[in-house]
Amino acid sequence: MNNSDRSVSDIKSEMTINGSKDCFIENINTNISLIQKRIKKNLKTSELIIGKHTETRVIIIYNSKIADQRLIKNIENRLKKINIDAIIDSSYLKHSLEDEHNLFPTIMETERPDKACMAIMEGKAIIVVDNSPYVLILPSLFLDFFHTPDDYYQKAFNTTFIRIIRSIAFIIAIFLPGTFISVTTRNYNLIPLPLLLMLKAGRTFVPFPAYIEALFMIIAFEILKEGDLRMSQAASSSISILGGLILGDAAVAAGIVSPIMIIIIAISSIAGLIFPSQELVNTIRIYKIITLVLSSILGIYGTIISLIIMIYNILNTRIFGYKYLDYDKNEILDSIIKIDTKIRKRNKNITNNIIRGKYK
Amino acid sequence: MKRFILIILFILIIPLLHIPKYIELNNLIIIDKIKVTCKNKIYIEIREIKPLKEDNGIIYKYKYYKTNSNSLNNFKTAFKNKYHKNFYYNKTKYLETNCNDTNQIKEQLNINPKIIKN
Repeated sequence: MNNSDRSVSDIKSEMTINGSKDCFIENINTNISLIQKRIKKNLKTSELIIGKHTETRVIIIYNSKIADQRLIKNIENRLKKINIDAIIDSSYLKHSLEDEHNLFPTIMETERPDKACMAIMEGKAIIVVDNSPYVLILPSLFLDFFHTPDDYYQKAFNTTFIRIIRSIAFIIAIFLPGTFISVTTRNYNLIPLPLLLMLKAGRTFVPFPAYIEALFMIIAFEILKEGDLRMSQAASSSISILGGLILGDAAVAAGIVSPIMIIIIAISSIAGLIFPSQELVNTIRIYKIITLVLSSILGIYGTIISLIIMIYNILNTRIFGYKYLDYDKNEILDSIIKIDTKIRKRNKNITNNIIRGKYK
Repeated sequence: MKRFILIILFILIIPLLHIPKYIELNNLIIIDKIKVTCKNKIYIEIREIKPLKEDNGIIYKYKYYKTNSNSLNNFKTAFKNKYHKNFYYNKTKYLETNCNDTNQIKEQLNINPKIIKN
């Protein structure tokens, strides 16, 4: 570690309640030592130099007793094909490692050493890149993006409960605005009369069509979020007040938007933010807009078509030949529900060494 | 190829779906009561329920629309042609009538309300 590197500090994103608080930094040797600190045996590395001008060190780390050698060879072959001038960050490698252009993320990035080590012990490989504090985990399946390290630090019952909440949040984030538009513009039969009257009262003086109002609110929220991310800490509180007052209070008072639309978009946006993976948050945003457009045109059928498209996309995605939505029994026992079994096992589609051991 | 076939299938299915007309809530006239009087002609009066937001909550105001017809079959068209508004009858709660056959009225109007006898 030289003097220009920052020291291992507290993690700023991917927060958890329990577990370690250290994070990866830009120095590759420090990152490898953070992993070696946790996994002392059977850890193997495979190093490549990529980037004509940057000559960046890229290291694949895996457990030689657990990982499938075909996966490692596959990753190495794809990385060797990269012929580019510079690798500045680990995310530059994603373009060549992902199988096809897909809205859903298939490679996870993490700053957490504990999460990276958990992935290695499941038979996955991680890629550490010099000058990047994010390591890549391959292959990352659909339900991996719903898990956090906290899930493994608490009781199975609590984990199951919180994962069910995350699944509901996923559905709300994508389908709530579109469903709301379809039931308030075409499919009035689906809501009871008192609710319909309440919604009508709220929209009495709003001059815009419901889908324009929804799009306006989604865009405003995204601008606010983006501004909050890029601003310095000193200015971010001003952005929050501005956003809350102007978007919330003044817009309703002026009759530009209805209060119920603000509630719908706010709930859906906040539900989309609970996931630790930024790529999944981006995917949710895109599907939300697709659902909104289809629901505006086709009503509730549009919402259903959007659901079918999303399920089709998930079922048809492959990452390094592995199914994105896996039906392996051991994977299902640690998916939305978490069941602690006497003998802990790994996903047999990812590795042949499926027996992890037992605690009692 | 699979995606292309799926897109074509979706496009072909769309005309078969009965997609309701797009009507903003502001332009929707919600009818909560229908009064049918059977004399030499059939007199129909419908009541619109209008929710208005006040500081204390929501208050409801009512507005009445009338027409007459020789039969109940085309009363919806008669109202639409007379008033040029988008009436919504599916939430009708009350049917007030002096006609004998209320079930026939319910079938013809395609509603399922409570019955009030004159």
